Amino acid sequence: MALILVVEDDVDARDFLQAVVRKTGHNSLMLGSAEEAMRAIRTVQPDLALLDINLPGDSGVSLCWEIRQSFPEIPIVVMSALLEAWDEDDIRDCGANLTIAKPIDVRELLAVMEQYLTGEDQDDSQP
Amino acid sequence: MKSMVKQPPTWYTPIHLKRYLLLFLGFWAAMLAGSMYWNLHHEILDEKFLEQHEGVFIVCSHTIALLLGVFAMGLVYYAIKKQIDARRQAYELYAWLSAIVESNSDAIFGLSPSLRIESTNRAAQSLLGYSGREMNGRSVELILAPETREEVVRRIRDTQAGKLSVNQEMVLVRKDGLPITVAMTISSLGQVDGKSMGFSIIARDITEQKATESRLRQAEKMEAIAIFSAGLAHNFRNLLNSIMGHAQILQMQSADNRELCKHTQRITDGVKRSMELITALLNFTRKDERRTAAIDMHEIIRNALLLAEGLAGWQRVKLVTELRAEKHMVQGSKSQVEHVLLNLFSNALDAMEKSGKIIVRTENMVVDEAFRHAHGRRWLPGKYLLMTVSDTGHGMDRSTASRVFEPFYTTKRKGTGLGLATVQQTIANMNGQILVESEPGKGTSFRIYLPV
Repeated sequence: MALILVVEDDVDARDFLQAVVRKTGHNSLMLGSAEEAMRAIRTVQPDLALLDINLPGDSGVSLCWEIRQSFPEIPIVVMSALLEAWDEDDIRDCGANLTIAKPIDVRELLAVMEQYLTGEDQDDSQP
Repeated sequence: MKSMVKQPPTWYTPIHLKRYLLLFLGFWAAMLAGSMYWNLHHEILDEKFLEQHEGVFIVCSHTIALLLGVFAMGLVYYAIKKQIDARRQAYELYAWLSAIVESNSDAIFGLSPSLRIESTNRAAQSLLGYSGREMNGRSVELILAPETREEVVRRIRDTQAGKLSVNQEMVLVRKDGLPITVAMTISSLGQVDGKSMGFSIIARDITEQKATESRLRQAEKMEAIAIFSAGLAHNFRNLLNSIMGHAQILQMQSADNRELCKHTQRITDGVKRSMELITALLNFTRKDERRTAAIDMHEIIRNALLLAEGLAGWQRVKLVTELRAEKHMVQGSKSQVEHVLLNLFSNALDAMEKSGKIIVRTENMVVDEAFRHAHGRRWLPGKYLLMTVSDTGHGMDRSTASRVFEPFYTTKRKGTGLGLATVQQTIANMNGQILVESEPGKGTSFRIYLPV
């Protein structure tokens, strides 16, 4: 059973993501801010990180970078409601493996989790 | 300007004839005086004495006559010269004032007390397209727009001597019927012997300025929409994210309940439509930083026509293409121009309920000074590709046609009001222009001018 770190400041979205993770049968660590996540990754090592990149300030980007530094091998999937504002290179530079646009299609998210957690695609080839 | 003095006065000017006659008469009067003097001596003096001094008397009398003649001539000369100088000065002042009025870039009209046009300067003639002769003697109403005619006439009549009615924004009408917005200053010319001298109107063409202001306002509006829509999109998509997520989970958990699935499907469909709207808004306001390249408009038109086959109802219309432009390479983004065309095709289809015709034409044209004079300074001079997309649909009335490029203006039940606004934005990014012509019941034509 894998541990999935979910960082999302929107409570409703967090609830829905928790339900999706539960459906996969994995454990989830649901956090609402970058600060909480920074503290958490000092003690736990997630198998997959699902991050909202649009956290207050630039904290989403910093968090992504921090997780990549701490755990070079874990896949990071960033979610954004304003993907248009991000350059693909910027997101790749901060260490993310994949971006998902909100509103998230549950089937797409399940497929992504399946893909990364079963280790089918652990390299950084996908933007 | 109506000319009061056409030539500067000279010694030969006929106005001095009377004075020359006076000079002539003066000379002969002096001669007569000399001869009378001679006769007077004959009467008073002794004959013998006269005979002895005849020569002296002849010389004296002739000298006096000559002196009187010369004196008279001098007086007349002085009088004429004074007159000529005064007239010359008046002429020079007139010429100087005329030059000021004539050389002014503002249109200047002189009106009689009964509001007839008495004089116009060159700028007035070129602004309105009438010659001076066509305007002189006509009522000022000739050049006023019908809707503001009464108001302007009232303003002119109310203008008191020595007071100005400054910078009133008014609409004048050219000879060809085109309206021109002007900033108008009306002044009364005062009174002479208790009679009004009339009025003057100075009009400055602010049509271009108004158009620039309107474009600036549009740009500011777009900037505000861009900032607003980015924030809106973020919050809106987060809301949709929750709705969509929970609806899909519900759908998965009740896969065997068809009735419930139908409802959850409705929710997800609604979310998708909302998504399309917000994405259209973002696409509209996003500053295009994509690289532009030289693109072949004819190739893009052909591609767009292939893509348009996917549009509902495309099969029921007849398509006519006349790609005549010899120069058809323009600078722009291929996908965006395709989007422009698809947008225009889609609008054309919506305008034709049953069958109809869509005509796509291209030709080359030149924007020169004459064109810019007629259509505005915002047009950059040079060679252009003119692409016309016409339909034979239901057309639009004037007020609808004037608003089609306005963001969020739509006549469609499910329209976003962003389609043609985006089209205009794309064309503007390519340094081009787009114009619309439409007639209810006959159809609509979009004319797109792109620099080649």
